[in-house]
Amino acid sequence: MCVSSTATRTRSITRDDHRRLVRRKGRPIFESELVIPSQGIRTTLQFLADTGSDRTLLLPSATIKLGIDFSRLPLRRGKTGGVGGSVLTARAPAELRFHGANTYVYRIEIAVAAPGSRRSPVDALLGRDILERWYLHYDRRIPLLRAENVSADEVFALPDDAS
Amino acid sequence: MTKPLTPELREELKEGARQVKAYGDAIRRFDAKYPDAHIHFPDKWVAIHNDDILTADTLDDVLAELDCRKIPRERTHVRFIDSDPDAFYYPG
Repeated sequence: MCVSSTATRTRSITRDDHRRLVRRKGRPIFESELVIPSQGIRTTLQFLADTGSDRTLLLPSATIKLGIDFSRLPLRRGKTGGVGGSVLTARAPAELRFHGANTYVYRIEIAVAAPGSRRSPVDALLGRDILERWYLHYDRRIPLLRAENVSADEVFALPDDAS
Repeated sequence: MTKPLTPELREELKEGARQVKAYGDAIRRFDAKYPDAHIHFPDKWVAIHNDDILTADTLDDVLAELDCRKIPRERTHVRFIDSDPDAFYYPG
């Protein structure tokens, strides 16, 4: 039996283009679809744009949420250092898909942190393996951070009824 | 290597775009409704899916609640809300 929860109904909000920043406490957050074929994962996540991160990293709580079998990730394992210390990571081939006027697909090796319940306000860090493939314009006025594609692996026109 | 835009891939992209929109809209509704979420949900893990909001003290508990209600984890936003609104977050 499920425990009690708080259910709410609130107003609809018009769609934001994927290139536009989603702000929470001023943090530059993008929403994207993540596909990890080796784990049968297709999910939607929030990514914190982090120019200090060498590569895109799935944080420990997201590894748990998605039920990723860390021991079976196909690529090398090791420690990834950061300003908050180090974390055990593995890598997996992945696709990030940003949906907007077009769908932009980037193929990367995502770093996946070992599962853990470290408290985090976001799911993942968007590292320079993606950010260096964008033109970024940063401004405190809205939109705070705007990204334009420079070198996606693929660009698809967005299907008509999804826009 | 560029993938051909097959009908299957086209449908997958359409569904993906819909899912990202629904995911983001749900988060924005939550953030608009609870700009002071740290007061409503201090030190809680919160799961947001469409108009459903589930809370628990631990990540495991909120995920168990999602599973119990058959709410798809992969389309649900989960975050920890610190009771201190000025808590400094550093990735790593």
